[in-house]
Amino acid sequence: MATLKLYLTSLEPNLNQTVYSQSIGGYVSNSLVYPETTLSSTIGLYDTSLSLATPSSGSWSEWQGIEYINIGNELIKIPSFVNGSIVATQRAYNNIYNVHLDGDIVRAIASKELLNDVFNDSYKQYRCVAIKNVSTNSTDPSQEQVAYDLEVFIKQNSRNVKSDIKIALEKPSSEYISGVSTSWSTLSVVDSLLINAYEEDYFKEAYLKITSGVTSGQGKIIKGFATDTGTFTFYDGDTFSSSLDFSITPTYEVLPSPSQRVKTGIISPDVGSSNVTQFFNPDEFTTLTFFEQASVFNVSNLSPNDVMYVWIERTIEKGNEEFLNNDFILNLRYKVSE
Amino acid sequence: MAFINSLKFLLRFGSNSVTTEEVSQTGLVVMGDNLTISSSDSGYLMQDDQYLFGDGPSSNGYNTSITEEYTLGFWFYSVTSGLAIDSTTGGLLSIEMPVITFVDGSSAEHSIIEITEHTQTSGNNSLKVSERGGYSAFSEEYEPNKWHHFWITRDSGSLQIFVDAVENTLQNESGTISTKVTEGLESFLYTYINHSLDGYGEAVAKNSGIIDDIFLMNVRNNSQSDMQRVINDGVLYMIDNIYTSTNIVKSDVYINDPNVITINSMVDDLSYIFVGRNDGKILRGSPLFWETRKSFSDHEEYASGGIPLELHGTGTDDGFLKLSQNTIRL
Repeated sequence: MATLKLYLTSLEPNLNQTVYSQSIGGYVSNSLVYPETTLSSTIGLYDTSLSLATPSSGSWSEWQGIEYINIGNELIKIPSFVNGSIVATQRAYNNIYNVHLDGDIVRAIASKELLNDVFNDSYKQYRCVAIKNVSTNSTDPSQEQVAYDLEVFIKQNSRNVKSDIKIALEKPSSEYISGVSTSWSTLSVVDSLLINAYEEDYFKEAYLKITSGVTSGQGKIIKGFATDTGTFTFYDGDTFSSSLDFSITPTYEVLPSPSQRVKTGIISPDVGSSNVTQFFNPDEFTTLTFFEQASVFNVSNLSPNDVMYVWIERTIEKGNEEFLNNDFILNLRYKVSE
Repeated sequence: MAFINSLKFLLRFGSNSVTTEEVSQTGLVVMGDNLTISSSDSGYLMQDDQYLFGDGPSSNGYNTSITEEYTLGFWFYSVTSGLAIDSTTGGLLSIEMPVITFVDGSSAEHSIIEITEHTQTSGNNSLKVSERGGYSAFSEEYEPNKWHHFWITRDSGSLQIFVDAVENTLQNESGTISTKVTEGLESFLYTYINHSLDGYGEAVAKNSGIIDDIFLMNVRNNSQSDMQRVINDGVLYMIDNIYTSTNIVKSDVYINDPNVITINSMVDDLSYIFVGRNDGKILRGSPLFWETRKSFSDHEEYASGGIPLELHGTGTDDGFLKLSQNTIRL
């Protein structure tokens, strides 16, 4: 079954995003929206003792001082000190009780992170997060890795009646590909298998990353793609070192193209185009999806490393006296097989 | 809807009483009785003066095809009726309350699967599962006045009871579980909700809890991930083909009041002073009001010794007033 995770977005590719208010479109950053670990024992509806696996970072430092954890649809209030064993202060802080199984994802939630208290004159603010398919079949090649017919909806909107969340979906204009270059230079990478396979400049602004050889891990933003030669070209100031041995052709990957990026979190992205839906308040029964919209590729099916961007619009009413209970729950529903 | 093959019975209650459903194979019909029942989005509120009876889509029972295995699940808001007093000994008696009974209707009404609830001296309740073969077992105790999800499943050799997706250690087991559930009777079953076939006595009373999303399958299913889906996402995610092949990733985003209130803007439009706070509040005040507050403040400063001042320079260009070792707070 495919594994999807939510990431912050950033101005440049391949960065850790540490400033939440800068998650306003662009490239998929390397930072999850919230730090994660997993449950190491099953808990019933009303159990308050939780056992958490040590985070992959090996440290609980990111978890200290948090007030809540999120498992499934449930928000759980916890003491501020977190280690592998905690006793919940309050289950179902958002009034949703869930059962949680051993291995379920647990997220460290702190207030004032993704959204903050800066609004525009219309009392709105915006953020963009990326849904990324992080599936790998390295341990089980038979595992289905594609998330089919992805739908996004708000399971629970803000519980503050004077605060409202809407979302819009933006699909990248190009998807993830990988291949073996047939030649390369300081300013270009060529893959002859791509000749006439995609439109001119189809991968423009996407991030190409070398995945083998001495430059493995290095990447460049694509300035142009020539379909008649299968050539990716890069910006003048961002070239590979001329001292490299260009006779050894590396493997490469091109990450999905970035979303639009707004200048600040109080500016609305452009919505309502073929690549971006309008802002909606989709629920479980009327979900947000690209199912029925013609697209260059079927972006509703997220293959490994593919992404979908979610724009979040938060609106508060003038005169809102309290800013409590503003959490919302985003659900991503997909078919596990075609 | 397109139900999975093993689903043989489904009863859900909506805000409109006629939205109760029966399912047999792949059919779905409104439950036949013309009872005016008290139901809401929460479920069917059991009444003192009524019970529900389901006789199947063709009035000849539900074709459950049950042989050795079944899985029965439902949401239940349990209430406690306290304890009864034994009229002979004066001791306290647990009160038995009916929940669901499946019966064979071919000739006489033989109880095939009977689910009852029992009050306990601790103030908690427990659930009892009784089968036609004489076998019965209780769940562990659970707190009343809460919603609980019950999941009962068995095969030819054992019974399991899960409360809120946690497997219970069976209590007070009695008899031996029989290989076949129906013990040779037909597998076309009728159902009663909140009805005691044995009548009511000093220790048997009507239930007054709320029940919803009752399903019966003719297979054993003790998958906790399925229980989790039913509890967290709804029963349709386990029994409806449209949803069974989906997965849901859930993520909460939390925002709340700032912990520290600070002033981040101030405007004086000559009529009012507006002060913006980082929690979004905007304070409006008359300049006269602020000046009044200031005079109070000055008075307090004066009373505490005043503010040492130094006059530097003499001209209008280079003269200024200096506060010695003090700050002005706005």
